[in-house]
Amino acid sequence: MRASRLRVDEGGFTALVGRVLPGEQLELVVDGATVWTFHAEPHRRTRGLPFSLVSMTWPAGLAERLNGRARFAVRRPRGRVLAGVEATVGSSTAPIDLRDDEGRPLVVNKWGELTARFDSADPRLGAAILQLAARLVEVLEADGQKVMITSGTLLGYVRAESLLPFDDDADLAVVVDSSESPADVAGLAYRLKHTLRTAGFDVILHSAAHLQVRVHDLDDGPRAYCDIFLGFFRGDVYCQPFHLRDVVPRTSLTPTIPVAVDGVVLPAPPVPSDWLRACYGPGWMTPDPGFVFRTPEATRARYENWFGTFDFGREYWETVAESSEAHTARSAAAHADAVLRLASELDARHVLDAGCGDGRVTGMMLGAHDTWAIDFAEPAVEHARTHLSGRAQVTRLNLADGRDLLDAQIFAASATSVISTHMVLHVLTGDTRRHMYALMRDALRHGGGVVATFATDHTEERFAFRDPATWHLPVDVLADELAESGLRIAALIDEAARVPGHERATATVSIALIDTTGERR
Amino acid sequence: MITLITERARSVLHRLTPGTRTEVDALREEIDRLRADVDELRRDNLRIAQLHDVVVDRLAGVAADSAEPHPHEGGHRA
Repeated sequence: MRASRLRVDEGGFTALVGRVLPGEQLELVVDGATVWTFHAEPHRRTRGLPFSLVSMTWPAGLAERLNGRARFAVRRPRGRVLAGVEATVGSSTAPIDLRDDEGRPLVVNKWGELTARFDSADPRLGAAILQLAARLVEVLEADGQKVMITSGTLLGYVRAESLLPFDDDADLAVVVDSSESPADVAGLAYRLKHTLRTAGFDVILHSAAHLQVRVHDLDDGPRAYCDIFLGFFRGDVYCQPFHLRDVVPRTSLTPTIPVAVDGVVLPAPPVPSDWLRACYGPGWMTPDPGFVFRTPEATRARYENWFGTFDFGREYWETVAESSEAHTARSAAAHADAVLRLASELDARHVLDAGCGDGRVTGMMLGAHDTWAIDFAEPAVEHARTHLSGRAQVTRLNLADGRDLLDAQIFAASATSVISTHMVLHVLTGDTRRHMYALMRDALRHGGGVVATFATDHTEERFAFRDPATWHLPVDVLADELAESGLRIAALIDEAARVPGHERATATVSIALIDTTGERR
Repeated sequence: MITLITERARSVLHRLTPGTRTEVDALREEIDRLRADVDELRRDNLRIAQLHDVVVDRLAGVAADSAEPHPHEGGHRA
């Protein structure tokens, strides 16, 4: 092996190796540990030659952690090293650390994110996951739903009557065969969310066809997750977001049969191979840690529009909230002062702090009005509840989900309200920002006001889509977006330049309606 | 809206004949607009479900607060 055959940098790697077939499975090894299994795409010009040039871009989760020095190698699964090199990536020369907070080695999962290797996880995790799945099946069946194991859990059962060695959750599907309408399926997702919450489960919606149930601190042990997907038929085509849309006989899915996964009895489809072939393709029986979903555009467009995508960046923001330190941004005082002044001027009964984070800034805006602080990251909500200790209502609410937005809109319209949003607008995706504008409109139409503070420039790091910490929203871009939503910047209240290493450039503005008669008010 | 989209799609179909580059580009743009409108129509499914859920939720709250609930009123949160 010659070290020069592998080059790595911040974007990815290029390897000159012996002949590799298109789609062949290879592994990336970092300091002796397999981190990423992928399908090679040899450069077209080397096809047919006795050597191949393989270039791969780092998956987003791995790219974030590659900053330092390590020994990199590319090899066939558990086989001979094809190319290797000792190299430094990024600005640090410290050893690259690809372990989680608990010291467990991390691997790239099928979403391109880093996750703890299942075989390195707490041995109680598998049992906790399956117990959670069994409890969920019980509640869902009592509610009259047809439930079956699906995805990785079904695959693990068929291969070895066990959880897959690299899986980190359980997967269930609720099969809806009474309606073909996506509206009914979405409606069922919301109903099941209430049902499961009433039964004591911590539920979030990734979309209106994908619920996730989490159990925290199982006897001080690991967190267990279970995904619940809603599947339905349109004619002969079985649809199970986010990926599957193919012909599957109804009799292959229901009525279900009881099977044992690692000894835990769960319902399974009577002909699992039909579901597995439709989802993973004809090669589903062959283990493939490098598998990634390649969802056709027509399917993606249907599912994303029928059911939405509510949780973009949630894990990032939960991590940020978990590591929240006692840091109050420089803009907080000006923001809080503007909110309090506006609330007083308008004699507002409500202040709604949208995206409250750890609640420190909310705490600066308390007054004669009722304050409602909302955030979609659970650790943020926990911090805010502790910090505000009953002086404000704190709720986990996700404005990306139009259902949660309606609750906020009803609140804002029920009495004169001031909407406060501090250091949030610039990290929202376009759809969620439009939801925020709808909330602002409702408050303004009912005599309320809006104060928004946001980052106007990137950090010392240049903008990178995969790193929300670099996202920003220039004032003129905000003004354009507001105009499309019938809103305008009423006043630029405060503006602050970047202080390298400490503070981001920010602006604080008040927002008003553009009157439909053309008059500005 | 569905009828309108269908009519526009039919109109595109009738215009799918060899033409100038400008005409072909105009057709492409119309197809893009149709696709965007279909997506918007799909989003209405979600909005309906969300509105339905909030109404049922609030109705359950109203029923719970009511001194004499109507014997037929229901709602999945009851």
